[in-house]
Amino acid sequence: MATLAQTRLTRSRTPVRPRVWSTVWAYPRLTVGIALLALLLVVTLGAPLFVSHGPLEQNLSAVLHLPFGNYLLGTDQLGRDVFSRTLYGGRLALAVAVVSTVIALIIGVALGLLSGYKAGMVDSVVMRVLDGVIVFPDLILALSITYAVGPSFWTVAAAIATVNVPKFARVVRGQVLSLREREFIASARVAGVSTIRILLRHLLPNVVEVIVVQAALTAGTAIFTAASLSFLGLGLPAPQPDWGGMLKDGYAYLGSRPLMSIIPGLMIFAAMLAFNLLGDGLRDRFDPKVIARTARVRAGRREKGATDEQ
Amino acid sequence: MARQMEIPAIDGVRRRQVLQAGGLSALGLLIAACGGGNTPNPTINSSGSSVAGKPVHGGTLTFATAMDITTLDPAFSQNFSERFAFYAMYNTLVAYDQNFNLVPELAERWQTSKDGKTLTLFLRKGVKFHDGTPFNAAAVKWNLDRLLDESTNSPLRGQLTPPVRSVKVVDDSTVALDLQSAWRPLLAALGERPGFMISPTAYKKYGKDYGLHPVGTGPFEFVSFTQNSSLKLKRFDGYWDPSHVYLDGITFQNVQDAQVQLTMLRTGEAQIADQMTPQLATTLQGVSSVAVSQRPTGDWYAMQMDCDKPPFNDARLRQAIAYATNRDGVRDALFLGKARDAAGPIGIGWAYDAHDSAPVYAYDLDKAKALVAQANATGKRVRYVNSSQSDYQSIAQLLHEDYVKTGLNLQVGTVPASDYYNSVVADKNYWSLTKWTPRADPDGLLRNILHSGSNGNTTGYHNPEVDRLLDEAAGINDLTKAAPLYHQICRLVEKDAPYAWVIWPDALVPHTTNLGGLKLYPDGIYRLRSLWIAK
Amino acid sequence: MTWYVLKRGGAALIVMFVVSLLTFIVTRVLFPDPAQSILGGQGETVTPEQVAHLRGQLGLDRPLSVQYFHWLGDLLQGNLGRSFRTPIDVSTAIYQRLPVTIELMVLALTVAIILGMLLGIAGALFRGRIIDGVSSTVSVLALSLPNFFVAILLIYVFALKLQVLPSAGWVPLTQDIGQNLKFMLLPAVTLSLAYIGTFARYARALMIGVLSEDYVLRAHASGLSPRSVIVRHAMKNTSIPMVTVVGLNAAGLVGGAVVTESIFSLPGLGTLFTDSILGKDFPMLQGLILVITIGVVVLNLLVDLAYGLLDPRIKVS
Repeated sequence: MATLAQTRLTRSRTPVRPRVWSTVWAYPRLTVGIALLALLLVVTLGAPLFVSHGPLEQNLSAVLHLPFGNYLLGTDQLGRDVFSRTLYGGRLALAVAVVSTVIALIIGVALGLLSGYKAGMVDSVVMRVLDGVIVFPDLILALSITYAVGPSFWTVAAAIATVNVPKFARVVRGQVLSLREREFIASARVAGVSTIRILLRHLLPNVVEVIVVQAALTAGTAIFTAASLSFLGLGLPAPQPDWGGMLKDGYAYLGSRPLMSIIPGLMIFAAMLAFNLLGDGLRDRFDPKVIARTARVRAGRREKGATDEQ
Repeated sequence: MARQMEIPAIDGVRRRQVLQAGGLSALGLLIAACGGGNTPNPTINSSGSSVAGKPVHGGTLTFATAMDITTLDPAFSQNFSERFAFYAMYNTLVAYDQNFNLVPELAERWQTSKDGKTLTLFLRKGVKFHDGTPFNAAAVKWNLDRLLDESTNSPLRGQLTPPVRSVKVVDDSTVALDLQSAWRPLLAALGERPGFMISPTAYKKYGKDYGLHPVGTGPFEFVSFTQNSSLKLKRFDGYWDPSHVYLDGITFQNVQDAQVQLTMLRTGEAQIADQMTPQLATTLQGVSSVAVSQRPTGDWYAMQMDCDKPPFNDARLRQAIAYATNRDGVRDALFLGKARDAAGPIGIGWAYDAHDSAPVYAYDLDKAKALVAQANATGKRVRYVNSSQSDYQSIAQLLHEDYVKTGLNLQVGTVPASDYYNSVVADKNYWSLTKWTPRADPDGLLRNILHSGSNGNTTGYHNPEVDRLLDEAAGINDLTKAAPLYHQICRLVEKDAPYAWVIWPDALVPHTTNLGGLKLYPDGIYRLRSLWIAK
Repeated sequence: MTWYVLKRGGAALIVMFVVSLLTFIVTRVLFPDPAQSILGGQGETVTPEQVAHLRGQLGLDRPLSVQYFHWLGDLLQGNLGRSFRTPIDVSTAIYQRLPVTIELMVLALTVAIILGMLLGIAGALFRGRIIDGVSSTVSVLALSLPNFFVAILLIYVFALKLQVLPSAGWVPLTQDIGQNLKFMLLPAVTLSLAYIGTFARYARALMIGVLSEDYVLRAHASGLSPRSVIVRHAMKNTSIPMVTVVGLNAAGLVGGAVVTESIFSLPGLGTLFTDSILGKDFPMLQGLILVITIGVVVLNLLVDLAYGLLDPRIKVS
């Protein structure tokens, strides 16, 4: 298991050189992921700088306008700028991803820490309930909850968070189970440190890395699940632009205006890719074995023997 | 909209062209309306007509449909497309033509007693159900009694009660319905869901499973059904009117997407489909194998507002919404002119008032703003709830732009399409977009949504004069005497504005050009039974 | 071993109980009352008395706890109830639709396993070289493509532009295999894509592990040709753990099937699920969720037990 101490040790062994560049070359996935995510953030948060029409602004005399001319990517069935809606739609997608991931993270990590550390009855109860949640396919549970409660930003975010809580809890619990028997925890317990303090001060810092990796991957699936809900007509309410909803609207005009569905589709793809690369990249970065491997790879290209990640 | 006003030089030209096109087609409708008496456009107006000439026998028709069939038992039917199947498999007691005029079907003729309290139906003789059961007076009584029986729990019961007290068999081919009072709309109901006759033998045999083993007297009999996939029917050899049946069979093929349906028509995999938008229709120019038939309907979209609760208990706010409703915008931008501006709740049929073709509150943002200001509602938060269905979304989103300009602060919410009407009934939404389809008799819809005693009156509208006129009109069997009362009702309601009517859209039916015998009905339900396919 | 099986089986039973409770909470507690929509939507004249009468008939007026235990009791007798919307028993409806979803999943898994294994093994064999880079790039791209987007692209290209494959429709397998596969091809490819990426990653990691094992190194040393080492030893030893990987992932496929089936109008469990949600058909929804989740629990249990059989270390713990 990768503890911080080990990681730091390994890291100091990597060749000196200019640090940034070496990191960029050593972790291509991380680099591309961060770059892509940064690009998405810039274009969505900076949307007003790039667009000449508001995302809700209708031009009834330019309905289903073809791309170029007044509208870079054309207009939709209400004469709204597809380019503008695409950029603004990203804000909502990223917001859902971040909010749902944060909710899932807080609840999941708390449950994971508690049940891994307390073990016994608490562990059994928490884990069985989470096992019950996790056997629901993501979309089936999210769809049921969203439909039952009624679609809104917070329902969608809460539904997606619910689906992801067990994933955080499981990885954290796994880590904690192996940490709790370690000496520094045992001595803290003997010294009479409170449970809360042990959880937050001693255990949490040691599981930060898996949490961060899990959060990146979760954000990617959150983008996907939110878009799926919208595509099935149960997502974020109109008229706010949202990628899944745009894709669904555009699907009706697939034959004559393919860009109306392809553009938001590509954006969902790009966002999922960014988070997946980020997650993978962070895992590479945190895993000492990979660091060892990449160092070796750079030194002598291929070499047999070492085990890989996973 | 904002853009158009700022830069009239660029967008104004196109807009005028669009308006002209829309205006022209509306004019065309009006001309046709005059030709058909006081009903608008009874003729089929096709942008590419179906084949004329002598019908050809043979072939199986494939109908690409976004079908939502869940049961084939009319007593429990709720979904729109189920009726496409019913009209092929079953007969109704009476039928109505393309102008909502009653015509004979299983009842060859009917008679109302002087006091209006007895309706006697004289049945066609020699008719048999697909399973060989004879169709007779006893079968009619059994069918109607089943709907009237409370324990059946049929949603149709409300269409027969309170008027129908009992059903009597007079002789083998005569049935008498004993009514509480004269009730003209009953006959039209017998041409709709309550009038479909099912085989009592089959029902006794299959019991609660009957809905998947339908047996009627219609020209096509049931072969197989897979929900969300297909429904297969074949020609019934013992049909009583064989001279108007040409196809060997009909297949309902589930295809949800309009674009895909169109592709199937182009490749000849299907002959007729049910999803078409005006935008898609324009992509068909130059395609010789597919046509879109069009006719006006009495369907309407309207903004509905709760009259009995704040904020819309203030009539000025309802009027403001009505004034701020950009009907031309919806008609031209969303329906590309294939719709009419709706003035009120009756857009078609014998009760339609040709003089009533312009909305009471014509589009005028300044008046809307002034009314909102008068009501002290500028900046007021008003919750607006809409269905997730795409037509609702488009229309509401288009109209919002103007509603915001009235000074109201709109809080928009969305409810899943399937749950939308229930949330309206439950009184959770005091402002929402709604769509209604007319019944053959105007009483059917108007009583349901406007009478203060009706459970379907979701706006809380209460006008004693309207209630009185509705009750009086329903007892009049002479249509020429009843029609003026409906005109009066319409004017009252339009002025009170529980609804801000938006448009009456046209029906658009895509089909291959080798399809013959197509007749479009104002209720929007396809009658597939007399279609034929040219070789 | 018996103790291990009992322990795992017991845990699975508890999970099933939790699942039934969750299913009930989601479908009965959170959902709006179905009585009104069963009696009639817009355009029907429904009186409040009718609604009350129906609620009584369906037992919706009883306390929720009573409803839950009543439902649980029926379940234990194998009675999933009857649909609210269609005149059919829930078990019959599920039984009719199960083959479509299973066929879709089997086809998708087949495509995903074949392509995923090829991709992953190629990456492992050429580790650190261009092929490895291509392989992992392709797998992360495949993982990040949302299925509904893939479906739309496929429909655009193959159904609308080339007009070589149908975009909607279905023919039973028993009626015409050729036609059936024609209808199933695009949905299966759509569903498989994300799993190609997943399987490629596992296959690569497993293969790398196997390649470093002593017996493979020894086989190399003993002069066997690289090809026979790979085929005879490495491939075989990668395949066994891959079975469990596939087993664990099969569950997630059901979620993908919901979207895929609804786009391609396939009459499987996915479309039945969306229809039941929209139609508020509780008995159907409950039955479906239970069948799907219990399928997942059972699959996980089998995978667990297989692990136990294959890996002696687990028996001890």
